[in-house]
Amino acid sequence: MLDALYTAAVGLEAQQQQLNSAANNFANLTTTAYKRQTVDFSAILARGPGSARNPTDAQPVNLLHFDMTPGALHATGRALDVAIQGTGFVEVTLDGQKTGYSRGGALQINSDGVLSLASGQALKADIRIPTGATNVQILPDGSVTAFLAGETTAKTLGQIDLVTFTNPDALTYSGDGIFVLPEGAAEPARSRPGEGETQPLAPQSLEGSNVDMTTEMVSMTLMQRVYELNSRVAQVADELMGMANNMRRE
Amino acid sequence: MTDIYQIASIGMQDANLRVDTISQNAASASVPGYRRHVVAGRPFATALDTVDAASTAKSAVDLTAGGLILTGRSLDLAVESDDQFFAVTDGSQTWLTRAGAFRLNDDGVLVGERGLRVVGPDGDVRLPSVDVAVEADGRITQQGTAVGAVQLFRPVDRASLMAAEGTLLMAASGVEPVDAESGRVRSGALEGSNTQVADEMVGLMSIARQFEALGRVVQGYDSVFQRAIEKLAEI
Repeated sequence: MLDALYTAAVGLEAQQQQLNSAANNFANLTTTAYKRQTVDFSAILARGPGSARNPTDAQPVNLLHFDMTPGALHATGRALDVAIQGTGFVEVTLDGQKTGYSRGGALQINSDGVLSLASGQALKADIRIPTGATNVQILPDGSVTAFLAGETTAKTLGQIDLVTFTNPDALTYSGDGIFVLPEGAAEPARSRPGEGETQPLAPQSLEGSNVDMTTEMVSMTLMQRVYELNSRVAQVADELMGMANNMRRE
Repeated sequence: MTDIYQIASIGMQDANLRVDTISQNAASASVPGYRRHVVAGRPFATALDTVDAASTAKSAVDLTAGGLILTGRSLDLAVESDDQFFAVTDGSQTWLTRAGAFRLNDDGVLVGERGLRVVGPDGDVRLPSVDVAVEADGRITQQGTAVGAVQLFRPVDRASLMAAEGTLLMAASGVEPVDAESGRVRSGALEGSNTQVADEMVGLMSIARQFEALGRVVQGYDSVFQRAIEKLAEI
């Protein structure tokens, strides 16, 4: 019965973790290029009844996964908004040296004149926009052009490349819509947008969140019921234990 | 005389085991591909012969198919026929499973639960990218080019399937591959857990009462004993 109690506790905790990720998904229903979180519980009880009866075995294995399905694109008309179609990420520089991977979004020119994400991280392509430049444009092939002060033709200032991963599931999330590669994982392949496995960039658009409200609602209802079931199991296991303890009458 | 104590204790141990099993099913009620465990019934006479009830009881599995959950992810695979399974291996041991939420590991090998490698027609399934399509017959294609295949298996003897860890099943009698024509997988869907909430609840209620009844038997027998001792002492 102790076993049943511990197992029920793991079940309860699992549902709670799932609820956390559902809450995260709901909160980011409208966040640009947000990738929905899921919790993988396939190994929640890595043992069967009758195997090693050690309660510490019953630890939930919470593997957070990100659903990398692309979200829907919507046009915004803003010149520095850029969305990635299909698979692929843009490289950004984190803390000066580490590389992060982003799905693009509303880019901006930071105080150093470098093209960066809305959250401030500069693109690794290090595209400097000189002061006085007008009509900055990101083209579908990833090149960034602008009219420099006093010139009448557009000049290419840099090139945004896309990287693709054999296994995007290996990426870990580091906040601000940026993923990082864990140590030891395979390095991504780099290509110009539209070449190799990548599709051309979608300029003047943003990628929506890939959270589906109805799916989340349904899974939340299910979570609540499964939580209830587990708490009932714990209750009954406790009752049985009480009965066994009180069997001897004085 | 102590037989009645022993019978009641076997019954209670049995009840214990059933609660453990139900707690497993409840905890895994939302794990895709989970097959609910059931305590295999055993004749009472054998239970009496082997006193240690817990060590002899086996956990069998209920192979009823669970409902399909559409996910849209191409490497989420559901098996259509309920006696076919995916096989996963850690190199030394092979299990069957219905949980088809597959991913690629760092080496580009298709893996399932806990990083166990999926067994394909010729060993590991190595894919160039996760951006692939899986056909109903198990072929995996990338933009029309075949890049691999998944293989379905069937236990030689269905009744010999035993529950292992998590969603994994152990086929004591061995497994045989299913030919490509009869094995059908559905990409973009996962099979839900087949835990039956109502069944588990009813099971819990009946166990609680059974346990209570056995407790009363022990108590009743105990008081008979007590009275006998008192009477004997009076003489």
